[in-house]
Amino acid sequence: MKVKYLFIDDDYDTIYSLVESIESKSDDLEIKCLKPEAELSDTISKIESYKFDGLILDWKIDDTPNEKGQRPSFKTSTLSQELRSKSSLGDIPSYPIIVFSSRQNLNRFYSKDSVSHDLFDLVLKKDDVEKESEKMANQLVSLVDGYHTITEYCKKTKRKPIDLFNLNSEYDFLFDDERLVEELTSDPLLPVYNYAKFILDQIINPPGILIDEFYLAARLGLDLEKSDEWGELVNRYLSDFFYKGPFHEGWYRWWSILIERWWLSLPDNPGPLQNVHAKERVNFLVKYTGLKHLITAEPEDDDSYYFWVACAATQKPLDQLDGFVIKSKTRYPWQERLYISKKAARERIGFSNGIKIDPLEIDRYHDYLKSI
Amino acid sequence: MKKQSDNIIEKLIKTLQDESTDIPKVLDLVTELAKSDPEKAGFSVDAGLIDKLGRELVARKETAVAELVKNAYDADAIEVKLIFNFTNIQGGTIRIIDNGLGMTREQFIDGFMRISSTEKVENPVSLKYNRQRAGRKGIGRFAAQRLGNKLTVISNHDSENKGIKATINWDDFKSGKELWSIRSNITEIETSDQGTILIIEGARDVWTENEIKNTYNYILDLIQPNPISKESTKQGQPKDPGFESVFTYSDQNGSKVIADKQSEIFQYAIAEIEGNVDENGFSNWKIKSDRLKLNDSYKLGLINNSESPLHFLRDINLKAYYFIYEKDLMPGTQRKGIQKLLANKGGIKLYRNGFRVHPYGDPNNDWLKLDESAKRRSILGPHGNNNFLGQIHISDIQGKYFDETSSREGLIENSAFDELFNWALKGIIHSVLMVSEKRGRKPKAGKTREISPTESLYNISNNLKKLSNQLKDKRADGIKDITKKEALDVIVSTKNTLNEFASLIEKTADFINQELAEIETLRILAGLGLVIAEFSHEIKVLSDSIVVDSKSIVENPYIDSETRNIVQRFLSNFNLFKNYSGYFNTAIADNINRQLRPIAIQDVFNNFVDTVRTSAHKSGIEIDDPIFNSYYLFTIPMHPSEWASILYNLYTNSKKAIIRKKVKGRIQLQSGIVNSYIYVKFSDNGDGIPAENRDRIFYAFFTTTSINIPSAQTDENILGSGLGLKIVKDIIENYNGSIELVDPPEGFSTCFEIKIPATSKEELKKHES
Repeated sequence: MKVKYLFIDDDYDTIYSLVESIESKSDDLEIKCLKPEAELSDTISKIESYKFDGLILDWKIDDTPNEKGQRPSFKTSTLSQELRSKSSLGDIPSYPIIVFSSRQNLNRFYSKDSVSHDLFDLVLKKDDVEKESEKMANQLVSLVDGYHTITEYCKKTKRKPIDLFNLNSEYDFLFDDERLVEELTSDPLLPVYNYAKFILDQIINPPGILIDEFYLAARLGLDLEKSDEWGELVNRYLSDFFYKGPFHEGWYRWWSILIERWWLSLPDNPGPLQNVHAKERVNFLVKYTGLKHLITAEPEDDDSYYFWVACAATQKPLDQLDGFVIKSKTRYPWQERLYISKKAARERIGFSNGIKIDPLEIDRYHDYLKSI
Repeated sequence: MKKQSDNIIEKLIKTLQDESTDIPKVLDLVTELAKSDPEKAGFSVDAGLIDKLGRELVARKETAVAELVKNAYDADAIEVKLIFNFTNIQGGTIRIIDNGLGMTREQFIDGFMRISSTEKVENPVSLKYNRQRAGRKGIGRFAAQRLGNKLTVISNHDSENKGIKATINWDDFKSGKELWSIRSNITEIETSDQGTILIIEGARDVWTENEIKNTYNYILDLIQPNPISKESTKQGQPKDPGFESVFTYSDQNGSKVIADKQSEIFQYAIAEIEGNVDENGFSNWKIKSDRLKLNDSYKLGLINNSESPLHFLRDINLKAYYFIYEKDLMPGTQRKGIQKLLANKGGIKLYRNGFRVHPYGDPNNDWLKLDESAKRRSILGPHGNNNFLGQIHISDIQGKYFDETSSREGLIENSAFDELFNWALKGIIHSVLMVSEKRGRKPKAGKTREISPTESLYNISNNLKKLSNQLKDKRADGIKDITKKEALDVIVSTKNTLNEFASLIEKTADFINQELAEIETLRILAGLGLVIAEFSHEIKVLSDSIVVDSKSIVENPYIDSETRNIVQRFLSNFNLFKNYSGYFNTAIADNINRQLRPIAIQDVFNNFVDTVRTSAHKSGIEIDDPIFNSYYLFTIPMHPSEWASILYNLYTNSKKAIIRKKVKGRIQLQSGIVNSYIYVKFSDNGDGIPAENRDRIFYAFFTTTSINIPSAQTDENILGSGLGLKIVKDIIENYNGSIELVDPPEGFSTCFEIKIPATSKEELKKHES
């Protein structure tokens, strides 16, 4: 059965092609466009008259009048807030709510309205549709699947969401941090969107417990672009450590600790990944897997080969000791800080997309710029 | 009780009668005796005090060494050598060798060995050269204690052939002992070298090269460029030949000089400037630069090159070292260090009768208005205070012309002072111009800057105030005392002044008219800009939709190949369109935020290259990866869209030049920082700008397009309006920057160089938090 989204926009005619382009990238996705009514309650009734799995909202829905010549008298955040409240009372089910807007409007308005950020599961930029429509389609489908999974767990089995991670003794590390357990086992059960938001924003997105492809490549010392057998390596040897919990279809992640444990379990391994030179990591991988087309990543400048993270600007492997910490919303101890390489820092790559040096590093950053 | 003191006295007598009197024992007994007095009690001093004082008075090792160097300076040494021997580990030896006046046995015992001696308080200037003593009172010995656990002092006083040698073991000064009971050995030795040697053994700290260098920086203000031409002053007192220090490090690998006057600073000066006024008021200037093969002298009198003597100045010496912080003149490693140092210590200091007169040449004091002139940039060679290390010596024992104000906050700024100011400034500027010329640089800004209407009005207002004050003064003098002739003089001079004002105001009015015409055109362009801004967001969103739709047509398997080709072509043209509009979009999106902030040139370049590169490529122009000669490139607070406007205007200009030349285009961006100005060089390989147009291109309504392609000046070509470069220039000058054509790099034909002041660290901090 297809996943159904409603797209609420006062002026969807001009961007219908963008929506359609996303829709066309997945066979499991259907998006229906809808204009908001002038009043909030009418809009909600209109939305509720449809059967759907998730909502996509334009950030500015009060610009263009509808067929009756009326402009909505409320903001997108008001609509979303109302729907979230209703679902927390159990009046309606929890479903994903997504913001869809242009980068300019996001920078201008959304980024400042920080209290609203908790109302949305995902922000999609119109500007990125051309390049990322497939990823967007996957994430939209995955969001609905994830919500379903969490809802099922909470409702039918009365189990706590922490069990979603297919726990067995291998995942003991998840219990290391009481805060993580606490968030996912709270009593009484919270509305589903709370768990969804927590899993997405605090577990999946920040590198730490889970790492993405770029981090995985950095940990293994590999050049992602040049290693033709990357897919082979991941599928044949690392699939057990692939994250299979909610939203995994839209966000590919691996359990970082399991990767490290796997490495140390291999016969004749050269020791903990972080202590091993990237060339040695790759030599060992080639020897162990027999895959010849795995290429060691080269560091920028004369930086170290003891890669551990991916540069937040270039995604290239980086030894974090060589980089600068950038500003991020790390809230929990299991989340790692984000870094950019010296090269990215001095050339300010990605700074126009919001990368900022962490305030604690500003002095060191300026000293570095002055020294070269 | 009585018995006990008798006992002590008995012992004391016995000890004194001993052939070799055991003085420590005597002291101990005396102490004991004093303590046994049933009637009186006195303070005693614990030997641990030395250690405590050492730690509390001299916290840092660098200060400790600096104190000892200052002592050498105070002792009228001309040179002090510091040798750090094996100090890469703890327990090394530091030797401090000076050729000062040295100490006699008495001076050593009553001075050095006496804690809290009042020597320096009583004698604030040094004996021989009248130096203002730099050492803190009574800190020297504690500094030595702070540095190592054993101190050997060898000193030979000026007048003696023999010297003294004393050794102090600081470890002997343990708590629980009486301070005075701890005795150090002092012997007489043969030595012919005058001065004092301190040998500090068992160094408590490790000294890295950098730390040794830092220490050197602590004492730099003691160093004067020397010799100042004349040997002695009128009083017959020897002229201070200056003070130098050499810091050397030595270990098993031999020794090397870490820092000395020569290696640190003066050898990097581009030129040495000397100016003298003799006792008859004739002035003579010399400039010398080995690197530029310049060795010249010139005379500057009342009016340039005049042969008449100066009114007030007699017996003045100026010596200054001139530094230019450019890559080809100073190695990078030194450049930053010297620049940083001279940021504080630079400038021309003023000495009267051998004494420093504050605040002239103090940090942030711009008494010669060098910084002000450098900012004005009509003289292009760098000449801020931080470009000079120099001093002026005035001999005026009677205080006839140069007298300090009663508040001791400088000299009375009379006509003599004004003359000094003019003389020094003129001489220095003349040297700066000579260096620029020798370096093949443009010495002065091409067009003398038009004085702005506001500036001109302020001038008028100031002069009117002056006039009014003059008239008031006359009135105060009492009308009775004014002769008819004097009254007439006042009237005539007032009339002249008023006439002058009238013509000035007329000129200003003309100027304002011209500006208004320009503003009119700018208003039209601004209106156009607003319209574009209004729709730019819609254009962006629509563009995305159009691209996505045309892509799905192209990807549709059911359309015929002809249609596919057409749509494909449409798509690629449209992408180009999108790219162009994208550029306004960034400029305009930023425009929403009206706040000025320091701009990183990297951000400006990244933004420009990202938006323009693709469309440039389609027009046959390659944009090179930007070149950064340094990376600390934050401008003073500006508006981000102003940079977009600057670069886009220059790009349009280049594009036209490239099209006219009919070549494969190339554009290069470069940036760096020189003398706290950030420069941006924008180069292209177009048809170049003919010499006769070089200054005119920045004028309003001058266009190259209208000369070469008259028909090109149509309404749709905004930049053909002749305002493009004018706008660029206005933006830049608004921030005290400059733009000019400079020699292009290899492979390019035109190069615009923009200079914008760099932001201060504080400003940057303010905006980043």
